[in-house]
Amino acid sequence: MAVRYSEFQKLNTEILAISVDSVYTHKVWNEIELSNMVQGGIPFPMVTDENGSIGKLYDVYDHAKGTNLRSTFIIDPKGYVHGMELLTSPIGRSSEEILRQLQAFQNYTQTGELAPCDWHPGEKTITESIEKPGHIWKEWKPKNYN
Amino acid sequence: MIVGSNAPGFTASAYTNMQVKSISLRDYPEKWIILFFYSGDFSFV
Repeated sequence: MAVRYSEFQKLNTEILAISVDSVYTHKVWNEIELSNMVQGGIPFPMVTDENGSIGKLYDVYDHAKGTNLRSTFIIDPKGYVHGMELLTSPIGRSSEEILRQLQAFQNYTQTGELAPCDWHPGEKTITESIEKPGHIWKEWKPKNYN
Repeated sequence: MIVGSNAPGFTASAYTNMQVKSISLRDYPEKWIILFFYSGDFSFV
């Protein structure tokens, strides 16, 4: 997320990272480790959720472990939550996929155009219409369709 | 399940630009927000 921060910024987007760790732990982690992975260290706020109260509000708090689950929320400027992803701990999230979803939601809120399966920016979107059901196959096919 | 509804507001301390600052979702009225939770520092996210 941090190495692609400039791409998020170009999309008028701020990133907020959040865990149950204190701001002091965030500081030390950034100083001794993350700054060796990302030039200049983490460029966005590392928020502290010390008693998990924010994780509970978002329903991603793991009561047994006392930590928040790996999850990503995409929120528009009006505060509307367009999407979320939730993963167990072995697998890291995909900044690529988050960027793709963000651009699909931004395109939808600006144009009303729908993003079909595997859509990427610049590709064909679908215009919503009562005429469409049953006829989508005439204008759109899955990417690996033979 | 909060997808399809408004994001719960919060205010909390954050470490940013080598400083500790109070952060609220309301601080970004013009921006899209990627809010990402992770289990803990010194893990991958």
